[in-house]
Amino acid sequence: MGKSVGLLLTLSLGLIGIYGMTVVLEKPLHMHMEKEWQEVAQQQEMGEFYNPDSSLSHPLVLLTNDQQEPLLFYADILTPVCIDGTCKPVYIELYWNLIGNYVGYGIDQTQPLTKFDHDNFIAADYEKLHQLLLDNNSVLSRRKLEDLFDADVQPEKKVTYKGVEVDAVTGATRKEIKDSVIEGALYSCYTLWHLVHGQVRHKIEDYLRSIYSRELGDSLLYSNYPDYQFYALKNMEAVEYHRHLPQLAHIFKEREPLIRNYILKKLPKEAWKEARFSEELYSAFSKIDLNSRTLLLKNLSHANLNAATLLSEQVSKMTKNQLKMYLRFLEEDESRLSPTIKANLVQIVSKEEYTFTYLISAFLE
Amino acid sequence: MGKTYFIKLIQFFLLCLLVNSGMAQDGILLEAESFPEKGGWLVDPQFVEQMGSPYLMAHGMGKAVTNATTEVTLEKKGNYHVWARTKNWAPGNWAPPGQFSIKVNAEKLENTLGLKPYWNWEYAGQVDIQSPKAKLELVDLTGFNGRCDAIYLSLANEPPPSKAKALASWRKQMLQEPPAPATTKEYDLVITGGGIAGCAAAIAAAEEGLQVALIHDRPLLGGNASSEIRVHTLGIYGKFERILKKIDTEHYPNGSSKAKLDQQKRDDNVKSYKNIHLFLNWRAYDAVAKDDMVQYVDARQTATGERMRFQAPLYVDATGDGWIGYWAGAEYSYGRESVYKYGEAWDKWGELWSPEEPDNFVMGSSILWQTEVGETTFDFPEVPWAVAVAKEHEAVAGEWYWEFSRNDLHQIEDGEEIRDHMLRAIFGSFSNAKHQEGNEKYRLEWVSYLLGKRESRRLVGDHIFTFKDVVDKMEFSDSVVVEKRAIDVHYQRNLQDEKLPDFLSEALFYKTGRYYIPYRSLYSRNINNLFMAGRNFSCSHIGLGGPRVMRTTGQMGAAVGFAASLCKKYKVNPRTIYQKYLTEYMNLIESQQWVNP
Ligand SMILES: Cc1cc2nc3c(=O)[nH]c(=O)nc-3n(C[C@H](O)[C@H](O)[C@H](O)COP(=O)(O)OP(=O)(O)OC[C@H]3O[C@@H](n4cnc5c(N)ncnc54)[C@H](O)[C@@H]3O)c2cc1C
Repeated sequence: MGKSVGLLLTLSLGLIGIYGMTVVLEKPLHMHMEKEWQEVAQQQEMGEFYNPDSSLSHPLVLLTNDQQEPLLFYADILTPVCIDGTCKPVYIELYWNLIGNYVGYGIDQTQPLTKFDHDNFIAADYEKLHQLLLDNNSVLSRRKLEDLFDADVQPEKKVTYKGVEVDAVTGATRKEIKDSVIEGALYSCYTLWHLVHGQVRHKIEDYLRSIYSRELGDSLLYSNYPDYQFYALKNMEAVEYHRHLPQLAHIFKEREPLIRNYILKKLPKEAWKEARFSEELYSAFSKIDLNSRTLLLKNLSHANLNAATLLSEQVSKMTKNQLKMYLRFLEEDESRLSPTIKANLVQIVSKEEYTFTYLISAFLE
Repeated sequence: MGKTYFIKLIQFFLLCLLVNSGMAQDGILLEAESFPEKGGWLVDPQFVEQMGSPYLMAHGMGKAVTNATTEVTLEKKGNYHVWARTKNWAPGNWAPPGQFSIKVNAEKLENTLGLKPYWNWEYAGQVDIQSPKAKLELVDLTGFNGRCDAIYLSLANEPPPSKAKALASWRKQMLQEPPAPATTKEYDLVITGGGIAGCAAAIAAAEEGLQVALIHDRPLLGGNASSEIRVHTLGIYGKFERILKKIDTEHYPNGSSKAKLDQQKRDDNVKSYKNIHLFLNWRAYDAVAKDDMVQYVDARQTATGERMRFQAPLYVDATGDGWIGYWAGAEYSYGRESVYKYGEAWDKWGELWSPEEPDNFVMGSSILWQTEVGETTFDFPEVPWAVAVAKEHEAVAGEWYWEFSRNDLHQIEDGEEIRDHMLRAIFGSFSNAKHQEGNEKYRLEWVSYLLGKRESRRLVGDHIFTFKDVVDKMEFSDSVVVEKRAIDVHYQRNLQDEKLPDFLSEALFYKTGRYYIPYRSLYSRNINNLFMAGRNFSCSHIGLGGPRVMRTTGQMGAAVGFAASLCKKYKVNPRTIYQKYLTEYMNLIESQQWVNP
């Protein structure tokens, strides 16, 4: 997180009159934002979030550095996990980033997590817990606890359809549940997943939205976290993209297909015309995912002229339909088939290594 | 019409043609799917619209299948040149997987076939034929989906045309096909597509006394629920429990061979209606509308090539792909709408759920498959052409989430490529798993060759069913379908992590209470005598998320069948039922309620 985000949030916090208190935290067991965690110096209470499962509310804490620049959200949790009326306490410290995504947890060494038979968690269990909490779309999110329990403990149970609401994944569910939960600790997994992904996320998001500004968006965009960047991209008007082309090119090359696709679909037409930017996008063609490649091809007609030439050097990476799109583009306007492009096409045909050379040959004829 | 008779007919017409045109070429066209003895080869009619014809495929899961044979009668003796229309379905830097050869009178022709990466005539070689009859065989060499559309024998060394248009007209010429089918049949209702939706529509209409034609391109009814694809039916029965129980399935795991039991039930039940005229293995290939009314549907027997015209005052498109509507000029949509178009946002999932900008990223298609653990070890061949798709992925079982969609591929137009990609994913992942210790006894028990589709064309009705109807819990005066199943929409996993296989998907579930689909989503907005039922009903991409499951599509079918009966009674079109006879219609549907004894 860049300094500026922190500063902006500090200002906003100052406005709503929350002041810091010094904080000492135990080192979390798993933490995705190690750097931010290291910087934590103070904490500020941000109200409470409610957990409908336990009917308990937990205080939500904003962690800041010594200049009160926000870094992470945190909650020190003590919650009961109950089965058939018997409850046991679970102690855990949870962390979220500034847009509400879970980033890590810690435990009190004197209060290890346990399974229902009272065995302590082993290292692999702690790791699995972190992974399952990271999974936004965990099977735990869409199942009732009872169903999960059935699948967990009664592998042979036959699910009849009559009168029973079942969904399209049932066949796979048992395995999916086994993969998603820690054996013998289903209830803890369930309780914690819902805590992490429940009301607290809305609280954080609402808060961020209430203080969101163009400058804050910019600093998220220039942070090094994909989810911050995506958040900023979504909250930015398309016309604003123009101000950030080098950073967009950087994100485009580094990030996952979903974010690339988003950028390519939202980019205003004029941005495609920028020679430097266009060069960055189209020269990455052979290194990026297939769906983004298709989007690059779809935008050829308003991209800078260098795009078609850059693509002619990477034709052998095109799928059949992509090649067809490219050739159609060249065909639409004779002037598009420059001598360089033509020479590159001829060369591909001569090498005969590319499956779809027959289409190029037909085109050249 | 007998199959050999049909082959002879082609030869006869060809000879007439040659005499008439005075061409110096004596040629015989043999449609592979019309071979009387197919051996282990299967007829694949799924991609006719794209590549021109049903074809024979050697789907042996790695074991070469037995030969397909036919007998050819020749007017002239001589040295014949032989071509096969085929393709290399997994081209790359390896031996093509689908190789086969041709034998004539037990003599193997020189060239192996299935080598070029597109449908084309490949030259098999020459053969001297001195007998008036010759035995011709397709010899599979690999068991990995070699394919043959047709064979051409000619005394002249001149292959038939390759380009789609030229080939189609050459074919017509060779077969001397008159522009229209010779036979026309008339009914009260013509239903195309025998999935759960089409079957339910047929039963409902038949129970109300209509003469119904049900045209279905497979030998077995049920579409995705059939034992050929093996998806179990989900959803609730709504008002149609009695009818739907005749055709649905138990909750066996997707891909399970238990699908066969429900297959028998379904086929028996549908066949028990005397007034359902079943045309199994008939694929509709055209529908023509005049003055916004469908005039007829033309269909072709998938093996013999025989053609027939079907006429009725009313038609149902239950093809899943909206073919009848498409041909007749009905409005349709394809792809994901912008989230703003119908207000379908689910913020939690943003772009994965519904994008800001529209695109063509629909839910993908699947191939289900099953393995078994045998008594002894089982060797599976090396499949480099498949591992290229599977990469590192290992699996001894498939599931619903083996699904493929990519934004340069159209679920209909590129169906063959999508199917083949899934076959490669399966064979490759299985091969990887076979290299692991402990998997020695695993063998492939069954791999479907039929593409299980989820989403393609959606025909547009008077009402477009969307996510908003679900969220707002809209109840309509014409609510004929009810569902409470979560809305689930899929995305490809590699969108979030490109290192993951491109053939696996993930589902997003939006939990909901009951929601309703109005009758107005079940007939075309602009083609006045066309109903639609099944996944091609009038909805948005997200709208399809819940009701695409097959008890729900079955409800749509039944609702349409009953509406058709009132259309007949009052001699009106579907829209008029909503406008004028809604009370009677809703009462008719209400009276279908199943009362448990
Ligand atoms: C892998 C997978 C898992 C799924 N999971 C579930 C599940 O668990 N439960 C569930 O209920 N649903 C599930 N679905 C969704 C459901 O199977 C589909 O939405 C289904 O297609 C809906 O049924 P339908 O009758 O509309 O179409 P289909 O089942 O596709 O039936 C249409 C039939 O029409 C035939 N046809 C097409 N064109 C022609 C033509 N021109 N002439 C003649 N016949 C033609 C086709 O061969 C096809 O059999 C799943 C789908 C897939 C692919």
